[in-house]
Amino acid sequence: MLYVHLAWRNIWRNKRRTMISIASVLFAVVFALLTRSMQLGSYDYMIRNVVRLSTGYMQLHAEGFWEKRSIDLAFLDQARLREQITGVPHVTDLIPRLQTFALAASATGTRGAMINGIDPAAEEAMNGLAEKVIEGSYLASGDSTALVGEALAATLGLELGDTLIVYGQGYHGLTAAGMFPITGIVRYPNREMSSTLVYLSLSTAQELFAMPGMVNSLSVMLDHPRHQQEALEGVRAAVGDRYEVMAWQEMMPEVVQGIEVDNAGGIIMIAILYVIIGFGIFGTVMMMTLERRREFGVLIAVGMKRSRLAVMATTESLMLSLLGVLSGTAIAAPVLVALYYNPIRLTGEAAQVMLEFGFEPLLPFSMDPTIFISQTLAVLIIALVSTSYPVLVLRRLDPVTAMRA
Amino acid sequence: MMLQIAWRNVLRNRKRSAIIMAAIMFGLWGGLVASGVSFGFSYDTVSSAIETRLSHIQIHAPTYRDNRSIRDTLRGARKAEAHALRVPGVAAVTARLVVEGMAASAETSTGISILGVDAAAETTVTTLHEELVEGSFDFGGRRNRIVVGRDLATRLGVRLGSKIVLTTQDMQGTIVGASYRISGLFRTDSKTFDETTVLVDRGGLARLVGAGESLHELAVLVEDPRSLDSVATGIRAGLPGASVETWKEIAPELNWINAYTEVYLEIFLGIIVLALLFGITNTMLMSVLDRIREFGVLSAIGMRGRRVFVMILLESLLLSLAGAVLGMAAGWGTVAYLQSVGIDLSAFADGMRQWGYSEVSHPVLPGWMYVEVLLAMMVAALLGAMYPAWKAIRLDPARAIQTY
Repeated sequence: MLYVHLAWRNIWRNKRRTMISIASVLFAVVFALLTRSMQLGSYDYMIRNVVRLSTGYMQLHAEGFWEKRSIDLAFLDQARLREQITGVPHVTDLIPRLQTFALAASATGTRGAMINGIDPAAEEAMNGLAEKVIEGSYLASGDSTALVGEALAATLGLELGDTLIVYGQGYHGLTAAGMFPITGIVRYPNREMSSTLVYLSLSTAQELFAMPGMVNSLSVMLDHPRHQQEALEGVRAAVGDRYEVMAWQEMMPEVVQGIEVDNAGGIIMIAILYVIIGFGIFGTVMMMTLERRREFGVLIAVGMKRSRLAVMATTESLMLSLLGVLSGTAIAAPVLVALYYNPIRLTGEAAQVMLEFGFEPLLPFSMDPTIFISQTLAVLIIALVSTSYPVLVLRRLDPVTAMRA
Repeated sequence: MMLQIAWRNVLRNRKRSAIIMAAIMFGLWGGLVASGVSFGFSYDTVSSAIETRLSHIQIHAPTYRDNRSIRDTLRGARKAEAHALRVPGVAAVTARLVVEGMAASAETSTGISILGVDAAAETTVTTLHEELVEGSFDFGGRRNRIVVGRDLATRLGVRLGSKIVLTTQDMQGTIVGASYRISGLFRTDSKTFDETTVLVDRGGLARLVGAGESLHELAVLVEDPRSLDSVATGIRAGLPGASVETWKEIAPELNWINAYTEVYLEIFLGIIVLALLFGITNTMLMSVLDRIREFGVLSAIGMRGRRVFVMILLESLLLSLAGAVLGMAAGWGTVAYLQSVGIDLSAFADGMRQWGYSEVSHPVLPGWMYVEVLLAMMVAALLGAMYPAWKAIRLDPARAIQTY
C-alpha cells in the first residue's frame, strides 16, 4: 500500500507531463476500442448474414456434392433422417433444398438460371425470402408456380401471370422440362442473383427433375453460433458417414479468409499506434528516472533497498498506463454501448456494396469483452517495457556519483 | 543563427530527443509500409482486372447492359471499331460476340458467358493468354476449340482435351448447342470470372447462333491510362448511338476499392500523426520546463518573447523533421524493396480470389503520400510546440531566474 501511495504522489510531481502521457494512452485506447469493436462487430454481422442467406451453419449433402454440384448427388429427405438431426442439441431448423442449373425461357428469350426447389415456410423462417417478393405473392408448399428474380423476368420479358419454361438436366441425365406460371417477382440488389434465381416449391422441383422425395442439401440452423462445433460433431455422429456434413467455414473459406485478412490489417494498425504511444510512455518514465537520480542516490545511500525502489518505479509506470486505460475505457464504453444498441446505418457507396451482397447496410459494434481485455494487456506490456529503464538505472546506480549530479 | 541555436538545443538532451525521434521514425515507417502494402494491393487488383478481363473501355448497344440479350447487337460495329482505332490514344480494339448459355459435362451443368473472340486481336487488348495454366489460347481456326477458366473445369469435372457441350439461344430464339474440346485453361484473380467465362472462335460461334457479322462488344485498350476519360470522350463523340463505358463505369466496385483505400490510409496516417503529436508536446514541454531558468535569463537580458517562441517552434520542427525524414526514407526503402520482391498472399489466395483481389501484391506509394505525411508532420510539430512555447514566454523573468 505504501508503494501505491508513494507512486501516486510521484507521478503527480509533474502534473502536466503525467496528464499528457495519460492523454496519449487514453487516445490510443479510445481509438483501439472503437475500431476493434467495429471490426469484430462487422465480422459477426457478416457471418450471421452469410450463414442466414446461404448455407446455414452447416449442411448435409450426399458425399461429393459440394465439389461437383451435380444434381445426381442427392439423397432422400426422410423423416427418420430429420429426427436424427433435430435430436442433436442446439439444432433448431432444417431447410431442405434441391438446386440445379437449367435454362429458363420465355417466348422471347432464354437464360441460364439457378432453379431452387425450396420448402417455402422453412426458407422464409431462415432468410425472410417472402419480404423480397416485390410483386405477386410468396410460394406456399406444394404450389406449382414459380418465383422469378426481377432482372431475369425483365430480360425474358416476363410479367406476373406469364409462363416460365424451365429446360435442363434431371436425375441421371433425364431431360427435365416444365412450364410454371409466375406468381411472384423477387428483388435482389445483387444483379447476379436477380438475373439467375428461380424458386419452385420443393415438391414441384422434385417432380420436374424426376427426383421424388429427394434433396441436394439440408441446411442446419442453430440456436447460437457458439454451439457450432458441438452441434457439428453431434450431427456427424447422428447421420453416420453416408453423408458429408460441412460447416459453413468449409463451404465458404473465402469468407473466413476475407475476415482474417481484414482483421490482420486492423491489428497491425493498432500495433503501430501502440508502439508510438509506447515510445511516449517510455520517454516519460525515462525523464521521471533521470530527474530523480540524485534522489535515488540519497535513498540508496541511507540504506533503501534498490529492489524496493525498482518496485516503486514499476508501480509508477503501471499506474500511469492504467490511468490511461481506465479513463479511455470510461470514455469509450458508453459510446460503444450506445452504438451496440443503435448500430450506424450506412449510406452512399458503402451501403450500395453491402446491399449487393444482400446485407442490410448496418455498421454494428461488438461488445466482446476480449476487446477490452486486449487493450488493457497491450498497455500493460507498454508499461512493463518502459519500466525496464528505471530498473536498469537503479541496478547500476552508484550513489556517490548520483548524489553529485 | 536561430536555426543553429535550435538544433543545438535539440541535441542538449540526446536521450529525450532520441526517444521522440525514434517514435516518429517508427510511426512513419510502419504507417508508410502498411499504406504501401494496401495501395499495392488495391492497384494490383484493379490493374489485373483491367488487363485480364475488363480492358479500359467497352462499347455496346445502349440496351445491352440491362438485357444482355443476344439481340442487343452493336449497330455498325465495324465502323465503330474503325472509328475507335482512329481516336488518338487508343492502343488496340477487339470485337466480341457475347452470348449467355449453359456449359454441360457428363456430370453437371452451369451457367456461363460465351465470348466469341478473334484470338489474335484479343491478345492485343487483354492478357488472358498470359494467364493460361495449361494448353494454348490459339483456336487454330478450329470452330470446336474452347478456352475455359480452370475453376469452371474443376466444377464440371473436366480436363484439358475434354469435351463439353454449350447450349444457348440463337438470334431467332431457338435453343442451339454444340460440343467443344477444351484447348486451354486460364486462371485469373477472379474466381467468379473463371467459373463463368469461356472463349471460343468468333466465326464459329456466329455460325452457331446465326449472328452473321453482328457483334455485341468492342473492348478498347488505351495507351496511357491517365488519358482514359479524354479517350472515352473522343470515342463517344463519333458513336452517338452506342454506349461507351470506361472500366470505372463497368465495374464501379473496383474504382471504389481504390477510392476507399485512399481515404482509409489517409485516416490511418492521420491517426499516427495525431499519436505522435502527444509525444512531441510532451517532449517539448519537458524541454521547456527544464530550461525555465534559462528563459528567465534570456528575457531578463532583453530577448523578445516572440523570438523565444519562434526558437521553440523551430526546435520542435527540427526534431520532428529529422525523425520524419529518417522514417520516410526507411519507409521508402522498405516499400521499394517489397515492390521488387512482391508480397505473396497465396496463403489467403482462395479468399482473395473469391472477392476478385490480386494474389501477389507489389507495394507502391504514390509520391503525394510522402508530401502529405511530411506536411502533416510539420503541422503536428508546430501544433505540438505551441503550448510549451507559450508556457516559456509567459514566465515572469524575476521568478524564473530563481527556479532551481
